[in-house]
Amino acid sequence: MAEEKKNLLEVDHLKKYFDTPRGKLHAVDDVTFGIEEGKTLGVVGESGCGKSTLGRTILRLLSSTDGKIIFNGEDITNADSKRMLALRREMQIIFQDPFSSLDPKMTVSQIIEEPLKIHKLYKTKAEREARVKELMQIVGLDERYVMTYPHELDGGRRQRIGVARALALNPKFIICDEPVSALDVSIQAQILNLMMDLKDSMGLTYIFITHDLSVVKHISDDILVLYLGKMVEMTDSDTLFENPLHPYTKALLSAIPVPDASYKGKEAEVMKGEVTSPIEPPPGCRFAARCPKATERCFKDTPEFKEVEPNHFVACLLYE
Amino acid sequence: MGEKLLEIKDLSVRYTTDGIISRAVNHVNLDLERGQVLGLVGETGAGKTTTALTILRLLPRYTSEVDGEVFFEGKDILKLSEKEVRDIRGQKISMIFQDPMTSLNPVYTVGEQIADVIRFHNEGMSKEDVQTRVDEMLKLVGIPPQRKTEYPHQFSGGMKQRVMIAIALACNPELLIADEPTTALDVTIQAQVIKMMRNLQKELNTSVIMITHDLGIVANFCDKVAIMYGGEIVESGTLEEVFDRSANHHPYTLGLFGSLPNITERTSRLTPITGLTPHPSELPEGCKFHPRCPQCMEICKTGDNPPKIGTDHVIQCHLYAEKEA
Amino acid sequence: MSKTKAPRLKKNSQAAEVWQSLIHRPAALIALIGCGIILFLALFADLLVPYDVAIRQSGKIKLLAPMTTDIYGKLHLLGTDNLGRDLLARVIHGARTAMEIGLISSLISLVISTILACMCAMLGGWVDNVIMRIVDVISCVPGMVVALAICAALGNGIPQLLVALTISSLPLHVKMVRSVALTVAKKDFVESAVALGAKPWYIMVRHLVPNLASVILINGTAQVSINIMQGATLGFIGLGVKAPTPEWGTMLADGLSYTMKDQYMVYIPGIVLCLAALSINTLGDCLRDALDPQLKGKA
Repeated sequence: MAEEKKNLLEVDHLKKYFDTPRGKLHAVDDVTFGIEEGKTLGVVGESGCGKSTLGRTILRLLSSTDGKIIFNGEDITNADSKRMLALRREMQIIFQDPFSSLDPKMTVSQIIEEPLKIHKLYKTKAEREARVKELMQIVGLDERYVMTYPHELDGGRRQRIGVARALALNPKFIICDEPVSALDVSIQAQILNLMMDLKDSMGLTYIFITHDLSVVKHISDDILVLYLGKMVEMTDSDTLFENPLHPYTKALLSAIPVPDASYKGKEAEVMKGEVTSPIEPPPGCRFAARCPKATERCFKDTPEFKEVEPNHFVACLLYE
Repeated sequence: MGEKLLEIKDLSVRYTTDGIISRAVNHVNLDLERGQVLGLVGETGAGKTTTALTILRLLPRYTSEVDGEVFFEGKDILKLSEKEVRDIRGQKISMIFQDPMTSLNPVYTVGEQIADVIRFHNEGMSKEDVQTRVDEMLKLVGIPPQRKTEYPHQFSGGMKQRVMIAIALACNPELLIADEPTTALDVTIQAQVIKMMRNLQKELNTSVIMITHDLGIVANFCDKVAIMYGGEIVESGTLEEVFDRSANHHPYTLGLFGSLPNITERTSRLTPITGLTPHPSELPEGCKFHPRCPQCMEICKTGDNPPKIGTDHVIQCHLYAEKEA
Repeated sequence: MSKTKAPRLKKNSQAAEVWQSLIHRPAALIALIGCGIILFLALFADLLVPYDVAIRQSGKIKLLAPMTTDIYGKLHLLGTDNLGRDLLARVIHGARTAMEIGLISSLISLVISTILACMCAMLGGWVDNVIMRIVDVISCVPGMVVALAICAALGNGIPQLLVALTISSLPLHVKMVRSVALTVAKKDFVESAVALGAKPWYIMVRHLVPNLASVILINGTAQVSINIMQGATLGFIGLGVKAPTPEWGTMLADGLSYTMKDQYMVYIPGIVLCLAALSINTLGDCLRDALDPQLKGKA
């Protein structure tokens, strides 16, 4: 067994609620996990599960309602703006939509150079330009795109710009918010490979947020499944696919259409109903209304998220 | 084997904007029988949506040029008058679009929008009959008929798409064209919608052209598959033929399968296709896939299109021509 | 990897593209020329015709029809007015006055409203509320009434007119720029800059303003012509510009008493005003057409 590696990031009972006219929206509700340096945590769930909010709250782009964020041993939950400025060099984010995440009025090199300018990393323009070219090479962007504008490029290249920009400050930790969802299948594969290569060569730690289970399997060491802001299952990648425990995880997995002709007409157990509202949710398990195995108790008691097998956590009354 | 419902012969579509010509569809041949489901697969820019729009004569009038023939129930749609085409739309051939968020008119109730298409094609129908049909359709797609007085914004994405399907099927069309109907939906909702579409298709014996880039959906729902690239059909056949890993395939098909992160297989690294899909205004010479093909030969780079090999399982590639010779 | 050229369409920056699409449209070209002429007259009025000629009165050569030579042997292309002032000279210098009024007030208004709109979008909360309520109050009072009040209180003159016009054009600008700024502020690239540690003012200047260029330009051109007309209207009723400053509106007013016999005194300033407003408005419209496809963001 390898020695206990220190967790680069620890999230402790993190909550993020939004105020709406109809009450509090529980976007992220009591999330706790830790990620070792160099590992990738996949955060999976459908729309409204809070995964994007979680990412932004960890990065302090949104202020948390409760709980702690501990980065590299330091509690940054309430760090002031000066400390955050320094921390931003170590924690970065790659966005989902390559069409809206780049300023249409800036050239490729200006976009990649911006972080260097904000943090005053290099003294001369020439040094900055050299670094920009280096970054472009790392992400596989041909040098001749230096003066082009984002709208002249396709989704795959734009996403590479986003990656280059995130890498500019040499961060340790990157939150990838659905970075390949908006791309064509063959480009998705290219970008995923790029991200995996970078992880190895630069020793990065990722949180990989996605709704696509098949994508997350390739890139993640561990996977956390969220439903309406709550953690429902967490374990390592292989185990999640081989032995899913939570009914929601099982339903997610069976809902994925498999590109295999022998699956035709196979009646997958399809979940009934739609996601219930995250505003002032009633007590009990959030998934109860749609769960094929729900009992009366599920609507009253809130299941606890606990370890039911070694390194396999579930929040389900079935396992209590 | 009755008469074919739809026969597309040598269809080519060109767009001209700002002086630039985009060859969106190039010499496409497709056919479909009654009750069959065809999966039209390809990535962005392959020409799938253009093909679909051509069938319904929905292309922009002044910037597009069409060559070829599209036979529906024996008649060439491209030669019909506007009125005849309008009669077909919504009644014989219906289409559902990708984004349910914007496909429904926000100022009319859902019931009114379904009723509209019924009234349009059934001029003498009484109000009660129309409403009965509306209720029938809502039940068919799994929405309680009481909700017909609600507005689109009161429905979730998945339910809006069901409403779209209800509208499309209201007049019991022979052919339904679905353009990436579940791309914007969550995967569990997608599963519900696909399951519903499959059941409806069987019950009503509607033919479907399912446009998608998701090979998983194709495997779940389609009888035949046609793979498009650069405006051409590079491979087509039955579902079993195209998905049979041991058979011959077009290199693009192989590339597509290789790019897929597959949850049932253990692979550590994906094998994407190198390069990018060409823009329809800048298609390569010779075989349109040759710049990205791992098995590109000299003959692929120039001259004519590669020949089509095979009778039922057709592959457009020089590789198999040689083997056959 | 194949050498995929980017589609030929967009190799240049937006500004170059807009220019290209403008000069290829006949209407835009004509409008550009019209505006160019007005600007030229405004800038070089003194070189073309001394200011003195525009204001010097002379009883002996009054009310001469266009294309008449006066008793001194000088040809008056547009005739003279009731005080013997050469109308061509007055039109040329009037262009300068019009530009001063229209352009400067619009510019000031645009600068102030852009700053306010960006503050609303970036800072939100009570800042947004306060600014919008102030703007609402201003917009309650019709522009003309504001102008009248200011001119009545502070007297006639171009500076007073500028203040009046700037204030009355603020609400529309702030609202329009703010609504676009709000959309831009929500975009991922703004969030991306925040995630890098950029400060709000930096984001406003570096990211918001360049993306507001389209709406500012379109609004701005419309406002220039509105303000010129407003200035002319005020001049027509005797407010704003002090005599003997040549100003097209005042010239119109002067010509009112002569509509029976010397109609040219009304036609000339009237036609000039129309052409000026038409050119500027058309240019604004064509700019909108040229910028809009990019506003929608072609992938």
